[in-house]
Amino acid sequence: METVKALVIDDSRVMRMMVMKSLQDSRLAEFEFGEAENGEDALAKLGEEPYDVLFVDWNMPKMSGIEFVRATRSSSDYDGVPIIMVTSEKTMGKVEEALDQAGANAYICKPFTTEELQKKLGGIFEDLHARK
Amino acid sequence: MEKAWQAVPQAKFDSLCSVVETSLVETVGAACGVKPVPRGLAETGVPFDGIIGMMSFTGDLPFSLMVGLPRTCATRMVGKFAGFDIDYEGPDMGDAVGEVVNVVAGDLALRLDRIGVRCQLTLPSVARGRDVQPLSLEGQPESRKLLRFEDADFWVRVAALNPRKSA
Repeated sequence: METVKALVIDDSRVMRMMVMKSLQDSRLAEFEFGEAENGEDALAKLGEEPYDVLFVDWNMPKMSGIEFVRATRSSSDYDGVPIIMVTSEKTMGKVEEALDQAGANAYICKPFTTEELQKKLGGIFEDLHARK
Repeated sequence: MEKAWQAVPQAKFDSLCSVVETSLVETVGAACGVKPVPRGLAETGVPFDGIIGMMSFTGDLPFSLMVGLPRTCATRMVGKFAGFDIDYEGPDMGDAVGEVVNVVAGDLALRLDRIGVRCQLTLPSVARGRDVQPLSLEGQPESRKLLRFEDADFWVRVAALNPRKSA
């Protein structure tokens, strides 16, 4: 299995640990993780090194997840990098905003199980592995 | 001095409290593998030793949500939520309680949205201490319910207000 560099963006250290653990348990890839506490921090990290996939919370201080997604998608540097929302926001309006308007590729609602990650992200990771 | 808010109709408030309780039970159940069991009204004015997670909601019906977790309950609940043990006295405990409240809030916002009540979440706040006593604002509708998680009790408080329309 190829190694995938994933950036996990959440203001909660506990939630970042939970996301990373679930991704490791999912065996969707061999993961190498980077972490960021908010959208602003994440943009700085993206400027330092490339990542294959981004996992983003919605409600964060300084720069929210949705603002981060819009900023990332407006830059040609990150075209094609899958962005996955991992958030407690569940209303259809928010889902549509993230997927249809901002440009996220997938939407995972908290709380989530490893099985849900496998089901929702399987296709994305198949494409990632195929491209490597 | 005229208050900047007006009372929420009781029926509307009671309906909100019912949705909050359902959301809390179902979401904590899904996240932790153990459903809390409602046990009626909680005592008010009694200080407690524990950790409180708070979140406010804006929108059609502004309200605040507080979840009060005594030490034992907090340790058990977040341990099951995170999938690993978290030290009660450490900084991750506050982080984890905030996330539990955040997850409940997301589910609650969805349930309210489905009945036509649009709301926006804010960022959660957390406080930990001894002899903590949440105080009420005069005339503000408030409900405190007691629930049991495994063999440890905790409480949830809902307080609502409607901003008075400016003249």
